[in-house]
Amino acid sequence: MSAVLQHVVDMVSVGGLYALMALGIGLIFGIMRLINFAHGELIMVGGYATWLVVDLPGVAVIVLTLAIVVLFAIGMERIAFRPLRDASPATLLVAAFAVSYFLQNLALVMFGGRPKPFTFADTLIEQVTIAGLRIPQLQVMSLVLTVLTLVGLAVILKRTNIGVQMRAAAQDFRMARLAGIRANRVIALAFLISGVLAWVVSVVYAAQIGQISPTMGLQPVIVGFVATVIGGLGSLSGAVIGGFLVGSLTVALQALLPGDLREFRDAFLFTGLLLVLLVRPSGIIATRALKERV
Amino acid sequence: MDAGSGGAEGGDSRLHATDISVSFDGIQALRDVSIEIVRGQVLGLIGPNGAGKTTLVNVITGFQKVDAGKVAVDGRDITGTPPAARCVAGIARTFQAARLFDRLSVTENVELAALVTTSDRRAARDLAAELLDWVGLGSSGHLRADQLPHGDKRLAGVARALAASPRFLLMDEPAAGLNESEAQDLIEVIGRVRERFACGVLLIEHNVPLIMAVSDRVHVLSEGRSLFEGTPREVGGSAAVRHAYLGAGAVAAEAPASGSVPPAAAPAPRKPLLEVSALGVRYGTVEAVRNATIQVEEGECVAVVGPNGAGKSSLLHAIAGVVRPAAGTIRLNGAALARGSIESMVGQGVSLVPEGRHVFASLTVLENLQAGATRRTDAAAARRDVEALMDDFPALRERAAIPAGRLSGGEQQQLAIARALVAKPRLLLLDEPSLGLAPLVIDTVYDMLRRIHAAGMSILLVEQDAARALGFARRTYVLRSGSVVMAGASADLARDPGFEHAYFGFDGVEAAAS
Repeated sequence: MSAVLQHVVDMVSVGGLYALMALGIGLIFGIMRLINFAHGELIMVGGYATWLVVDLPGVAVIVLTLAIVVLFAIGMERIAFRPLRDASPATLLVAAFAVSYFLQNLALVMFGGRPKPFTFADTLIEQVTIAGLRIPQLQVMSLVLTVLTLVGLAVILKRTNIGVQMRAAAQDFRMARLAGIRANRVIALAFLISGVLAWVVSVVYAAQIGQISPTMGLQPVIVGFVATVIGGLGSLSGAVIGGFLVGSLTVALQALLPGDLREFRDAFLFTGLLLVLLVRPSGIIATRALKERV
Repeated sequence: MDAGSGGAEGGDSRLHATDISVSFDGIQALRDVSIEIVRGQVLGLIGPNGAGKTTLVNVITGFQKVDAGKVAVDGRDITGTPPAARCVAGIARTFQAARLFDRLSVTENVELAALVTTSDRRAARDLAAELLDWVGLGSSGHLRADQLPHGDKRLAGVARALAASPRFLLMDEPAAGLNESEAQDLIEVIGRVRERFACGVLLIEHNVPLIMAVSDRVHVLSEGRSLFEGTPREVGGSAAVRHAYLGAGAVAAEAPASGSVPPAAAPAPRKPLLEVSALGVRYGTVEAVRNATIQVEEGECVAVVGPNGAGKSSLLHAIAGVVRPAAGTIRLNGAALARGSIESMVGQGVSLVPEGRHVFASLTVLENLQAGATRRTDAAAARRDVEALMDDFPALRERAAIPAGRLSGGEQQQLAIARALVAKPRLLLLDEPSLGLAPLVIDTVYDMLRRIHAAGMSILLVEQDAARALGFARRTYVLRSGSVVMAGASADLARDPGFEHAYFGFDGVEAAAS
């Protein structure tokens, strides 16, 4: 029984992490049709920023690293993507790859290719007992942080004026502008939020894998992108659903596959996702605006 | 020449589409429509926006499945066959845009199509040269396709379609976006196609003079049904056809009566609010609006009518900042509108309700209205305005918490209008508010517009339903092929026998009498 519960907790925490990734990518895509592959590098930036200031008091580390990641997020929009605002999605995609490789190589030049230990949340490896379950503190922190972020984002999107404007822009960007919604402001804000999401992922993810490296953003960005597509490109609730689906499927396969097949978990995972796409080619929540007329 | 040889085997072979019914997305796009294309003849297909013309072409070319009915060539049923099989059966189509391969030469474009029927490269090249010569592009064959002027691209498209030796050629709005002289060249070529190639031509076109000049018979679709078929002269004289195009009731008879509500009684001219002068709008080589001069006075309601493709939406888009004008000036309240982002226009007091409503489907009705308040600096007053709008239009309050995508078309239109009003515009631009709505629902929408206007809002309205527009607006401009061809008080226009001529560029009554 407690083993099952443990898996459920795992599903929620991994799923939540993937949901945050998918949201960071889905939010930007919804508004400007840009698949931001450089989102992964924001996670990497968060990792190295923490590594740099880890000796400061905890609160200072949090404030500083959050500010740095958000700065990078807004900076990449301002410098790389804004000048390409009216370019084709293909051009934007190439620009995103360019930003991604630039940041990876910047990290390589500055910190070298060797992984560095991530020690910020070191004290959290001890386990706590909650309702008969022994859970590492780290996982509790991840869970709390993830849930808080998701709830916070939902509140912003649902309850605030700027949130309504962002959802309107994600739904129909030109109509949003016709209604007076400022394109620059909404896009900058979307990048700001994606920066915050990336920061949360960077803390949780780096603490889980225990080290940081210039290419550490690659795996999460791919999983996040897959989750966005599964959920339905252009839909925010789809991104969350996709994130949780991919996350829980990963955990379930890890638990259920026989030992000698566990190695091939991702092969099973992506086969399953392929099946989802065969049944629902536009993802779980299809966005009408993306359908093209013949 | 190969392309012409098919004519000998039977001048009277036919393509039948019989009792075709199609529905998708919950809309009945076609209902029991039957047409017959005879080789050696041109069948014109006309009808207002959304009549189902392109759907019918898609049915004939195999891109659209039918719910009922059959398509047959010379009695052979081809209903279930894929598009490629239709090609082999001799059916070719041209698209609204020419869709040439830009990087290839003009000759290569035509040659490619010829290679469908012959594998001899030299024969294909000779045929291409001959066809280009025939459409009048003999000297342009070596140019890259994207270097051709717009009109010549269409001619090259026709040559390419003919290179596959079609027995039936379906042309979807070949003259869209062409100027008068380019359209003339195209008519002339289409007219010669049936003699030279003995193929049957189905011609969809909004340019009514063009279709009347070139067709042997004309078939009229309206809201998915066959409305009329006859010679161009019969169609021109048909009251039912004018009704379908110009809207409810014979224009001259009904409009003054329905004008009994505010507009006609509006007070004498006030100061000009919107002054558009010598406006030009271009998309690449296509000239959508030329030298248009239009005025809206403070508190006035003005309509712009005209057939599809006349440039009505482009005019509104230029005013609302969606497209940048190529020429001319736009002044609001005496000052030139500062050209900036789309959203800055809303800040300057211009709100556009676009064609097709565009409500934010996943947002609730209330959130849609809130999104419209973005530009308001007085948050409390904006909230009160949203409340007041929901009081005035209770349908919105009842559905405040429902996602806008679940509203009916008429409710969505009301929401789109209300959303624009929340921004407190000085001038409200409306693009085809009646499009795709049932007559009763249109009444509701126009009721709403009347009330808004009565409360002092200045309105510039674009409408295909000319009778509606004339009945609603104080003054009306007629736009055709991008130019203002007629303007005046709506009541006068409704009585003016020249109105129809201005609208269609073709006088149905005159043709029927001659």
